[in-house]
Amino acid sequence: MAISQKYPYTGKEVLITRTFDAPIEKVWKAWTDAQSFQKWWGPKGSAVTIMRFDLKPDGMCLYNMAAAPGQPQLLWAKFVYKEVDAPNKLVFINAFSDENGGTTGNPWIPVWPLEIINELTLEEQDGKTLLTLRGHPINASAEEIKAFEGAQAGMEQGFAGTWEKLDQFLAA
Amino acid sequence: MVKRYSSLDSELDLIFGALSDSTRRDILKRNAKKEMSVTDIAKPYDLSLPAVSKHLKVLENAKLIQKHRDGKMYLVTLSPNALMEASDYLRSYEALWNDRLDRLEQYLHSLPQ
Repeated sequence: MAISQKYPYTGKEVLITRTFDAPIEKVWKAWTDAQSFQKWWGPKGSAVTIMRFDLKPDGMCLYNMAAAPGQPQLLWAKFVYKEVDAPNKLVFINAFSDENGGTTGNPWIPVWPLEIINELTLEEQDGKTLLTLRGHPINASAEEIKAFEGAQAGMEQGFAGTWEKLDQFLAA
Repeated sequence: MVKRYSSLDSELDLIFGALSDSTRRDILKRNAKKEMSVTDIAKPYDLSLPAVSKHLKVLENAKLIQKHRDGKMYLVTLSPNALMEASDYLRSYEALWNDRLDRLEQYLHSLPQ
């Protein structure tokens, strides 16, 4: 069942597709094996440490992130898996959390949905893998949904250039 | 200190507001290289200490810097990584996912065949 039926939502969802030049098992493992997952999940240069990894419905992946190895932790976050259907489908709720896995707000955006449900599907096509990700807030207020919708593609054009300049400025 | 604002736009206003002033940009630039005391930061400017503190407060509210006490002194550090992570979110949630998938792609390429 699609997440839009199981977790009703009428706003604008995130829909991203990407084809990876890798067999489906490898892509699945990158998401579902703790050692593999922590190698790519965090922003470039950051250090993700997985503290709990329980890949089953209602099981939790709890991790923290530091700006670089050896640096203090910037944040804690978690996945709560809802469906695990190897190697084709992974449904999980993503949220910021405290170190015990308790749900907390986005540390940078005061008004932001606490929980976002994501449906990841993988399909093999001629040795390549098509990844489709759909995501939307759950249990969110109207204001939080508005923030989520506002943060989608529309904002990028206005701000991307500014952020690039800022990055360059700070690197100078 | 955690401040709550009414919308995403307010958060952006804070950041861009903080960066709209040349003294504050200069403070960030100097501070990017090392941790500094408030007195050190104030030195090159023809400004009173309270005026400099006010600029720092604006930067702190926008979460561009962090202040912590060391004995009698306040030390200021830049939070560029927090800023860059925040910028991913603020730029666009979709861009955040695209960045993640870029890294997944690089990771998959790095694996042996």
